This record gives sequence, C-alpha cells and structure tokens, in this order.
Amino acid sequence: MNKTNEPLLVIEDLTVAFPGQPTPVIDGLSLTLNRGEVLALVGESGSGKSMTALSLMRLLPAGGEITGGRIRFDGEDVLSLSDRQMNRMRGGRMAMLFQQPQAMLDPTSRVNAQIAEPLRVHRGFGRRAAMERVLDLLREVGIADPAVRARCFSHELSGGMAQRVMIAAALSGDPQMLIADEPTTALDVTVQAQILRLIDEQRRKRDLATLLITHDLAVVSALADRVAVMYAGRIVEEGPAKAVLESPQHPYTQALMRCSLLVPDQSGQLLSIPGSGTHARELTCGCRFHPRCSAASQHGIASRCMRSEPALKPDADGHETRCWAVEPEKESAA
Amino acid sequence: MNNVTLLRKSARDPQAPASEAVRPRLVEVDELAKHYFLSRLFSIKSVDGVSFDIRQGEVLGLVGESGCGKSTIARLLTRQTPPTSGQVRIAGQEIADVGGEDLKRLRRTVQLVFQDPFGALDPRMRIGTSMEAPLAQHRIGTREERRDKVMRMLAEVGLDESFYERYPRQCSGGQLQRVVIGRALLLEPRFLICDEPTSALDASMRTQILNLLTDLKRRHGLTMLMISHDLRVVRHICDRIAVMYLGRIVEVADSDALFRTPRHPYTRALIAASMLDRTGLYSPEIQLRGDLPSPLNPPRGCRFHTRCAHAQAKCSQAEPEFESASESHQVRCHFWRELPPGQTAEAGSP
Amino acid sequence: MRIDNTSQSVAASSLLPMRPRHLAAQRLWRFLRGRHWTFRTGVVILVALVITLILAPWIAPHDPAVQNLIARLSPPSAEHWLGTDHLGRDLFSRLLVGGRFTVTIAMVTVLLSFAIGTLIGVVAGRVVGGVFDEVTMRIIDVLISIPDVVVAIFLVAIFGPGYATLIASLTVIGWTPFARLARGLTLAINAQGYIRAAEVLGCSRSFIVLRHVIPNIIRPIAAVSFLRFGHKLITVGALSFLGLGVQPPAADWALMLADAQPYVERLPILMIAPGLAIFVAALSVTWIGHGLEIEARDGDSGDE
Repeated sequence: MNKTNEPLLVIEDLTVAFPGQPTPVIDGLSLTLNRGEVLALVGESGSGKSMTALSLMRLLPAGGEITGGRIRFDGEDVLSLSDRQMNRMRGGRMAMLFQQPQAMLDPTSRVNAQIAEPLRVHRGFGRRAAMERVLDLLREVGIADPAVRARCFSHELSGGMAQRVMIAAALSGDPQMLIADEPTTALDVTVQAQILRLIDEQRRKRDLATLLITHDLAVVSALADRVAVMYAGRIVEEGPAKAVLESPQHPYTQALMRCSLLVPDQSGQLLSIPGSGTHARELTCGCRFHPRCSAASQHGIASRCMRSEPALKPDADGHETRCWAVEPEKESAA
Repeated sequence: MNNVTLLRKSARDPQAPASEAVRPRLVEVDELAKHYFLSRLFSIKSVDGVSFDIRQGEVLGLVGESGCGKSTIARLLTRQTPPTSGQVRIAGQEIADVGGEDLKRLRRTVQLVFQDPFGALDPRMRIGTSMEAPLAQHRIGTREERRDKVMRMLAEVGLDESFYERYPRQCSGGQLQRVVIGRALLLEPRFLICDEPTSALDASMRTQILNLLTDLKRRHGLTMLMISHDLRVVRHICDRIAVMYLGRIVEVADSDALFRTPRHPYTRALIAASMLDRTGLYSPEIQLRGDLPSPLNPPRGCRFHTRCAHAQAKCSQAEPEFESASESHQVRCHFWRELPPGQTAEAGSP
Repeated sequence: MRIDNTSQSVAASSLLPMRPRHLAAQRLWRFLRGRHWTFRTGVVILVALVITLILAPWIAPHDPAVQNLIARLSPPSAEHWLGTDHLGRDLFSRLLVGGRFTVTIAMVTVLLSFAIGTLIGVVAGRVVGGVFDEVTMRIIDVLISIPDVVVAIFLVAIFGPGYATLIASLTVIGWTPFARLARGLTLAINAQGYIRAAEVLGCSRSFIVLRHVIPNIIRPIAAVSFLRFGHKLITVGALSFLGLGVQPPAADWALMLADAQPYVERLPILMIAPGLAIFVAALSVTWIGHGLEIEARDGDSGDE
C-alpha cells in the first residue's frame, strides 16, 4: 500500500449514539485528514465536535457507543484494534490536547515524571535517557528554564505553561496526528497566540496532521488548511480554509462568521444567530438548521428546507455545502 | 424568543459623548489596593493603586490577562472583600463604611453578573425561586407582585414563562446567563458589573448576550463596568476602556481612540492578539515574551518591561507616571511619544 | 441523572399547574422508582419493621412478660412459634416487643445528632476561622476521642437507666461526626458561585444557610446518618447487654441475647432470633444510607 498518497485518517459515515437519546450525537460523519494538514472542526457546543475527537481516541464517555461507520488511521482499522493496541496508539501515534491543561495533569506528581512515564513504559527509555528527552521536549515547546520547570507541580504552572507541557507530553510519542480540542479557549488572548504559533511550528517541523476543534473562527483562520463546520451532529460545510472563511456558503457558517467578528451593523447591533442549537438534533425531518436560518425564508425555499434534508454537495473546488440554497438550480438567488 | 433584542435601535447613543462632561460621577475609585498576605513578608499585590471614575450611564471596560487583578476589582466594588487601602465611592457614599440596612441598600445599587452562569445559580432551586428570593430578602412587593416582576423580567431577557419552573440543569449556558442578568436587574441597580459575562459561552451565544446587555443598559439607564480578557468583547459595548497589567491600569481611553491609536505597547499586543489571523500569528506585535510575571514579585520599574519589545534601560529603573496623551486618553509608558504608530482603526475587519 | 425523566417532568409541570394527589402506596412507589436497589430494599425492610414494632403489643400471640416455668426452654411449636426462653416466656412475642426500645433510642439519637451536628457544622463552616469555628472544632476534637459507651456508663451511674439518659449520653458524642462532615461540605459550598451571588444580591445569612447551604449538603449527611443508625442500634444493644439499658423483665433484643447465653447449646434459637433481628434492622438502615451515598456521589436526581 502506498502510504504517502493515502490520507492519514479516513472517517466514513461515523455514527455515535447514547442510549436513551432519540437521535445520534454524531450522524453519518465522513472526514479525511491528510499528512501534515490542519483540519479545523468548527461548531457550537453540543454540535458533536468534541465527541468526534473522543471517538477517534475511542475514549467516549460512559454509555456512548459507536453504532456505525469506520475509522481508518494510517491504514489500520481503529475500531477493530484491541484495547491494548489502542492504548499504545493513544500514547504514540495519536496524541490529544485538551481545553483545561491544568486539569489533565496529575496534581501530585512532577512535570518531568508525567512526561517521562509513557517514554519509559511504551518506548523503553531508561531513567536517565527519559529525563534527558523530557528536557529536550520542554526546550522544544519554548519553556524557559526547562530544568527548573521540569521539577514543578501542575499548580505551579500558568495556563499557558501547562498547555506547553501538555504539548511536550503529546510530542513525546512522536505522533503522526494531533487532536487539539479547544486548546486555547481557556487561555488569555496573548498566550493564545503563542500556543497557536507553537502548534503551527511543530506541525511544520514534524509533518504533523492536526485535527483542531474549536468554536473560535479566529483560531481557525490562524492555523487551518481545511475547515469542516458541524451543526447538530452533521457536517454542513467543508472545504479549503480560505474558501470557507472568505466565501462561506452555508447560512450557518455565514452567521458564525458574523458572530465571531463582533462587529456591529448600522443599527449598532452585533449580528447573532437567534435561538440555540440545543435541540436541533431532535428535528426528525428537514434541514436541522432551518428554524434558525435566515436563508430559508429569503430564498423562498422554506417548505423544502422543512420537508427534506439537503445532501453535502461539492462545487468545482471541492468546497462542499449541505444547503438547498446553493443547489445549482437555485444558484441565482445566492 | 428574541423579539426583545430584535426591536432595538442604535446601541451606542451618538449624542452621548457631548453630554458626557456634565454627567455626574456615579463610581469613584481612588488609589484602590488589595494585597493578599501570604505571610508577614510576602503579599500578592493583586490590585495596586488603581483609580478611575465612571460617570452616570457610562460603560467602562476593564481589560487584562488573568491574574492582572480585574476580577479582584469586581470583588472590591461589590464589597465581597475589604480593600487594603484606597477608597471606593458609589453614588457619593464611601462603601467601606456602610453596614446593616445601608449595606443592604448598597447591594441593590450595585449588582454583579458572574462569569460562570452554571455556578451562579443554585442547582437545587427552580429558576423562578432563585430570581424571586432576593426580592423577598429586600422585602419588595407581595408574593404575587414578585412573581409578576420575575415573569416580566424573564420576558425582558428573552426567556419564556416555562423557565420559571425549570431547574438550572435543564437550561443551556446562554439561557442561564440571561437568568443571572435578569436576577441582577430585578433589584433595579444603578451600577452593573459584568465579570467576563461571555467567556463561558459560544460565539453565537456571546453576541446574543452582548446585544442583550447593550439593550438593557439603554432601557434601564445602567452604568456598567465590563470586565474581560478579550478586547473585542468590550469594544462595541463600552464608551471607555481601561487596560490593566499586574495590578495597575496602564492605559485608559475612549473605546474608539484606544483601537485607533493605542499608545501602550501592551495594549497594542492585546489588540493584535484579539484580531488574530494567519499573517498575525507570526507578527512581532503580538509576541509578548513569556508569561505574565508572578504578582508575588512584580518587576521593578515599569511592570511590563520584562515582556515589552520596546523596553529600554530606563524602563527597568523607574515606573512611568500616568501621562495624558489627549484629554481623555492616559497612558503609563515612558516612551509612548516615540513608539512607531500602531495599527489603524479598522484592524478588525477581515 | 436520567434525561428522559427530567424532560417529562418539565412538560408535566408546565401543563398542570396543580400536582395531582396520590395514594400513599403510589407515592411510595414513585419515591422508590429508579433508586439504587440497596435503597429500595432497605426502605421496604425498614417500613415493614417499624410497622411491626408499632403494632407489636396487638399482634403478639402471647403476653411477653408472662412466665410459664413448666414450659421453659421448649423448642418451636405450633403454640410457641419460636419456642420459649429460660423462664418459659414466648420468644416470638418477646422478639416483637423487644425491638421497640432499641430502635426508638437509636432513631431519636440519630435524629438529634443529625440536627444538632448539621446546624453547628454549617454555622462553623460559614464563619470559618472565627472564634465560634475554632472553639467548636476543639470541642469536637475532645468529644470525638471519648467512646460513647463510657459516657453512657457515667451518665447512667448518675441519673439511673432510662430513655432520657440513654438518648442524652449517645447524643452528647453523636453529633460530632455530623458537625465535622457538615463543616467540610459547607467549606466546599462557600466557594460556589451561587453563594457569592446570594451575598452580592443582599440575601441574609440565615437565608443563605437555610436555603442554599443546607439543601445542597443534606444528602451526603443524611447518608451518613443512616450509616450511623446501624451503629447506634448496636451500641444500644451493647448498653442493654451491660445492664445499662432496658431493665428486666421488659423485653429487649440485646437483653434477650444476654439472657440466652447459658442456654445457647440447648436451644440456639434463643440467641439466633434476637441476633438476627438486630442484624436485619441495622442492615436495612445501612443499605438506605449506602443507596443515598451512591446517589449523592453520582449527582443530583429525583428532586420531585
């Protein structure tokens, strides 16, 4: 098999459900992630973007179950791996960053011990070699005075420092893919920029495929090559970052763009999406966004939006949109 | 649900700046300091000599990184903690002196909206009860009148009547933040402090809440203090913005002026960081060196000099005074005159 | 805990302004449905036990105090279902009546300790670091190190045996663990946003304690009180066994155990029956406590 041309990660028709909930949290999601590429998965909380990340790591919360679809990572079927193999995969070729870095560090042991542990267990480093490697990694993620910081406990670190430590830990297994779940949401804006830059540098250096999960389009514009927008468990738009950010096709993406800018209109009002998407998954027919959609009525296609759900349709540049308004026969309206 | 927010017109009154000068000061903060003593020798100078005024009907933004002392100011102004030194006068009254019934009255005058709406509501109390309880505590109205007031307030913050009977866990973060705002406004405060009111929310919820606050401010004639770490959030709603760094205010200016001509290097970095995009990621402007220094041991001289790209020898020796760059624009920097011009007003547009 | 339940209850409460009245059995069933199995079993056993003990004087087939020395130590028969003791008294009747004292004392003691301890603990936790807090915590340090049996022996020696003496002596020590727990839980609650909010909103101290703090910490404390109940039951038994509780000829489980000692080889049921009764009573309550503890740990459910 020619490994270099094949995408690193292929998700096909992934469906994740929780028992007792009428509709799946993730509904027929398909995505690919190429080597060295940054794919941003964007959506509001509850859209299923974090669940997607957790399914990839096979770390769904109790009760959550992958009920359909396939996940192939570097030619391997992730869903059929044994727990042991999966465990090794998580510490090694797949790594993950979380929103609350301090909460992910064990408060009772020192930073160096936490990074060294997987090196020694999974990769057979000796004590000294592991400690050396830890210092190299800390230096690499831009921690000043690594020898001192290595002996700190997590509560002695600032939020930005803790996220750097988490990145060092993630890099320790030489991963091919990094899943970053809201890596900068809990950080101050100035530190945010530093962390994003660090992630960008590392992925260039290591040819690291990155799945970036966020609700902040500023973060997306800083880092992503491609963007997939999720709404209520489904992908509603996907394409190259430049295309999606500069000419978003789906009304939801357009609205999200306007919200993120925080720029008022002539009347002094910030543009917002009315209502909330909390119950959108429970819609049984039609487009899941139609109750909040302005385009649905503007285009005079409201009844169509209510009746049946559009499919994800690509345009010539591989920019896909799930909306009746961009269907070719209705094109003139857009 | 949102007919209230849809009915609104201009958020910032264009006539407002003209009459600004004659409006009385509602909040006067003078050399306020709060030091948390860890031992006899060490103290964290969380707030260290901060002075500002807020005029009636004005919205002041307070911006800075976490650990700069902005939330401590919220705690000091709401008398959750006593200051180490300095004064706060609200509506002419020194708040450190009040007690008993006067303190209760002060509680009605000053209200606070919290950062985390999930934590700010008792999980075991129905939302209606949570909103009604403070009214009963202040002996406002009869039982029926209180219920009526709460129902009207729910409508005003864009929630329907069913929320009266709900528990907090049955609501989303945005809905709970509306409840928290409504609960604060039921006491008819004159001064509303919002401590990171949107940082726990999604982008779409964030704009909804900001619109709601702008709207309520206009209708109730509120004076507000908006605390945030994100300049974008406060830009639109605030008349003036104060930037804080390590317990000190380093720059104050009218909202537009601050974005058009930021004087302090720290303000510039904050603006650049909040307008982040691909090219911005590597721009030198936002590259502050390292993390915030420990407030246990703030740098000597200008507190920002350890991270400042323009720092010179003088910066590590003497702390700059507050200087007026224009009538309504003050900055605490030795070299604000010499700095290269910053970005222009509409750095925010894509 | 269960999403479908809560959404149903929202719909119901918005449709029906008045809640319909239910029969006692229906209410009990609603109360039990969806709870942890140990909780359900414990409640059923305890309810049955309490009803039996209340009705004991009427359902006992014989007078528990009447001696029949000719028929002493007779094995179970149709006349005497569990046989008779060393004085020829009907064992089954004595068993029914004998639980009333022990169970009452344990219940009253735990309720008192629970109420006193929670109140003191919460107040100490609200004024943490203050004089009241310091003094209470030192008193607790002292009291908690004294075994309650010793206090009971001391008080009984002064005032003589009886309900009041026993309850008093067990409560004097009994409130301390509740107070400690309540104080600890209050400290955690103090940091919650809704307490800060209540303060800023100008709510009174008593309102904050009664409406915010206590409702949010009551569950784990209640769980402990049920666990303590089993413990108290055994303590009361031990005191009766030592002759400090019920005085003969009144029937009591622990006293029956003591009386049975010399005859255990001839008629083991004399000891098994009261022993089993104490065990079942203690177990039922402990199970209720366990169920509550699990619910408290797993988060909020069943506010209705």
